[in-house]
Order: sequence, then structure tokens, then C-alpha cells
Amino acid sequence: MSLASATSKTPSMVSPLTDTPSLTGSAKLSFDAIYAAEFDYVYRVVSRLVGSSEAEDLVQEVFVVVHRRLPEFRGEARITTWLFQIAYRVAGAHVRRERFRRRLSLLFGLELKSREAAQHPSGPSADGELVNAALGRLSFEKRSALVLHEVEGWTCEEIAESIGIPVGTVHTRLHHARRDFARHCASLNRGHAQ
Amino acid sequence: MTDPELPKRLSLALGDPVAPYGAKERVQRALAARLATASERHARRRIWLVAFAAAALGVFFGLRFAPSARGGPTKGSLLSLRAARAVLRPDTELVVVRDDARGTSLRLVVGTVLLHVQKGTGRSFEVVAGSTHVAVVGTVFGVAHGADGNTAVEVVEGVVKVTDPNGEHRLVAGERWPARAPLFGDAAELAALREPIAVQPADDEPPPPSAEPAGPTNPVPASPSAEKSAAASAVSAPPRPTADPDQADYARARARERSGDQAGALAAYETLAARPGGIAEDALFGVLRIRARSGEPNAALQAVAQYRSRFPAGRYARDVDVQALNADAKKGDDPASLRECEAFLAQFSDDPRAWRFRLVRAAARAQSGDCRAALADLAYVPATEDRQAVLTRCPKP
Repeated sequence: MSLASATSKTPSMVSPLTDTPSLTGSAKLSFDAIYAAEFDYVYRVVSRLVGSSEAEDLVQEVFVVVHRRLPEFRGEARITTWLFQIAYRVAGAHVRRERFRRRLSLLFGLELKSREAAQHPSGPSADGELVNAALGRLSFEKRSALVLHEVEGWTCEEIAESIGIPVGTVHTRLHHARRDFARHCASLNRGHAQ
Repeated sequence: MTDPELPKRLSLALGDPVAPYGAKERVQRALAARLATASERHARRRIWLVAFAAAALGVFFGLRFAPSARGGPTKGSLLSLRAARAVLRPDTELVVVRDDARGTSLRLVVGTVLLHVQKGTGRSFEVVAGSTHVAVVGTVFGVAHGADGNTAVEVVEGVVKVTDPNGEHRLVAGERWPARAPLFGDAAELAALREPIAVQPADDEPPPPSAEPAGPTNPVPASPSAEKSAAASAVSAPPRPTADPDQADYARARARERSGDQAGALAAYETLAARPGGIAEDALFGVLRIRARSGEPNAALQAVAQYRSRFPAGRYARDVDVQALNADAKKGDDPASLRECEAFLAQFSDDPRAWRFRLVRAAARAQSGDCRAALADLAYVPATEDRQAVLTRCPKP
């Protein structure tokens, strides 16, 4: 049993609600099987939500949670839905923790070395850098909604059901995310121009 | 307005997040190492949690049941006061607010206390239990105050005046209020309580020879029952044996007063007040007392002025203040009453009589609409009808 995303050479992050073959039946599930089948899916989700630089560490965190919670998984939902929810929570907690750490560092005048900058010493393309910087200024919730909808092509209903929020909230988050993203891009552009 | 280029820009910037070569194995190795020690870490965390919970429970129950925190004496604790003896039942919490030459004030927080108060000492004696105020001259009685806020009083000997939000009750020997299980069930306990009390002399000043309580009347016109109660208690005080002729004359005047011969007592007091010596002070206060009781506020105020000019720091000074307040209130002279209140409270705010002045000031403040200040004063006033009257004007928020 494997996912399309897992078998595909260039896996696409399909919505966890999309009707694709998946691991079903909690009795048959083993941690190793889930890891083998869903590693790529989890990696893709995490790197979309927080960026690829910290994806490996967070994937590990996600699977630690999966290992702990697996006995509670009753097989009523798709395994991808369950994994997405875990990954979303783990990534959200990580982003909030990192922001808090950054604020503390700013407060005490400490220099934080960005992992992104460490990984790309030469720096990405100019527009890519701008987009990433603008995305970094969005809240985790807005960024997730924007990326899942605009990049991965999920519908608002799929996002709402995966995250467990009303569809109206997704619409609101998307609206605010687009507006804030455009504003941040404009402000960063002005900064570069000066 | 949605930017049509947005998905493309985002996709290009984010790239295609494919796991790099070897990532799956790297994560798997790290995961295996972490999961191998997970149970050990969980066990260690559980031990810390249990230890923390045990420590928290220990601190909580230690503080809750520490003897010092309860402050309650053990079974049959005997407390000796200046002119009284108290037996405290187990789990009783009693606060001695004041115990000096002028009087004793106790606050019963919870539990049962049985009291034997020495008669004829001239000291005031009061017990406050919740909203109930028990005033006494000399008697054997018990007060119980439950955790539910209910208070019970039983009198074995003498007379007790109980004041609660519903009104005043005068209890004589053998009466219980409210009628329920008796407080005095242990004969040995009662016998120990009834043993004669050696009255301790005051360190700072001699006890007044008068058997009149420090302040038996209310600052606002006193109810007839209260006066009757005070008079009944005063009758029970025995005359004091003396060899000094002035003292003998004074004792005779007191006996006349007690027997109801107010005119004869007044004449005797006035004669004694004209003499030099310490007895004049007692006699002058006797004059004041009779004038006040007979409903002559102007004459009482004259006696007040005379006393204050002759004995500015006299032994009855605080009682005279109370009588002055009573007389002013009876005259309806509100500004003078308030002056008395402010002057008294500025100097003697912790005096047992201070609540009378606070009550008058609270009434004046309530009348002028300053309910906040009125309620602040009422916090120190025991539950009486007059307090209730002020409260109806200024209900608690």
C-alpha cells in the first residue's frame, strides 16, 4: 500500500481529503509502514508550512507524535488527514516558538543566525528572497492558508476540513493573507529601492 | 484584488519541496535513537510530576492544618483574661481584640467559648461572633459560632444582651438563644469555669470604682430595653467595702442610685463632686450618668463640660465622650455630634467604644449621600437596629 504522493517521483501534496489510495484500518497499521509510505508527504507538508531549512527536524518531531498517538488512531479518517493535522500543529508550534525566541533575542540585543541564510549563503533569487521575506512576516495561519490555496491548489473547503476550522474563517484568512502579503512585498520593495 | 501572478511567484520562491537525498534515512536513524529513550524519558518525567504533586499537596495540607494557622487551642483550653475566664472547646478560634483596664473585647471566629465574667469590675465586656454582638456586665455564659455562620448563646448566670441583625434579645439565667442544644453539657467544665476569678489590676491606671459599664447605651437614642438591661445588670453588682469616709459616702450614693432614688443619689453625687480629692471625679461622673439617664441632655452636657474642665485626662474621659455624644444626639445637634465623633475617632479609633461614634458618623454621611464613607464606618459597627437603619439608606454594593 502506498500513496500516489509517495510513489510518484515528484510527489505532489494532494489534499488529505482527496480520494487517493491510503493506508486504512488501524489494526493493520504499523509505525514503520506509515513512515515508509508517508515520509515524503509529511516532508512536503512541513516544508511548505515552515520552509525546507527546518523540515528534517520537524518531520522527526511529527513522527515522534505519530509514534505516541498511533494507538489512538481509529482509522475513521484518512491517514493523510491525521498526519496533516499533526504536522500542522507541530509546524505552528515551531513557528510560534521561533518567533518568541526571535523577539526575546531582539529584546536582549542578541544576534540570531538564520538557518535559511546559512543554507543559502549566496542567497536565492531577488524575487524569491522578497517573497520568502514577505511570507515570513505573515502569521502561521495566514501563511498556511495562502500556500495551501495558491501553491498547492487546495479548495477552501479542503483547507477548512483539514485544519478543522469553518470555511468562512479560511476565506477571511486568505483575504487577509493576500492583502498583507502584497503590503509586505510593497514595503520590502521600497526598502530595497532605497 | 488577487494578483494573477501570485501562485507562480510563490511556487518559484518556495521551490519544489522534495526531500533531499538520504533525508529519509537520516530522519529514521535519529527517530530510532529518540524513540529508544522515549520510554525512559517519559518514566523520568512521570516521576518528577508525581514528586511535584506530592510536594504541592504536602505544602497545601501542611499550611492548612498547621496548628499555628488554625490558632485554635486544644480541648479544654483555659484562657485567663483580666477579669474573666474562658474555656475554649476544640477547634475554637478566638481573637482577643482588647483586654485592658477599660474592658475586654473578643471576636469569636469559629467554635464554642464558655465565659465567666467577673461582676462589679466596671469594665466592659463584649463578644462579637459574626454579625452577633454579645454585651455583658458579669455573668457565666457561652457563645458558639459555627462555620455555617450561625451563632448561639446560653446564659447560666446573670444577664446578657445579644444584638443581631434581627434585633436585640435580653437573656437571663437559664435561657438559650436561639433555642437549641445546650452549650453547657459538661458539669466538670462548668465547675472549673465557675471558680472565683482573681481580677488583675490595671497596669496603666486604677480600675474605676463604678460598676457602670463603659458604654451601655447607644449613641443614637437608646432603646428602653437596652437601658433596662444595663440597669438590671448594674443592680447585680455588689457594693464595695471601704474605710474612707468619702468612699463610704460614694458607696451610699451608688446604693441610692441602684435602688431607684435618682434624686437622692444626684444630690449626694453633687455634694461629693464639690469636695476635693479623687472621689469628686467619680461623683461628677455619677451626676452626668443620672442627668443622661433622666433625659436631660442640656444638664448632661453641662456635667460633661464640668468634668472635662476639671479632669481633662480623667479615668472616665472616654465614657464622658460617649455621654456627650448621646446628649448631642438626643438634642438633635448634628454638628456637635459630628464634632464629638471626629475628635474621638482621631485619637481613639481602636477604643471599644469607637463603633458608637462610627455609627453616628456613618448615619451623618449616609444622610449627606456619601455612602462609600458611611459603609467604611459601618464595617466596624456590630449589627444593631441603628446600623440596619443606616444600611437601608446605603445598601452594600
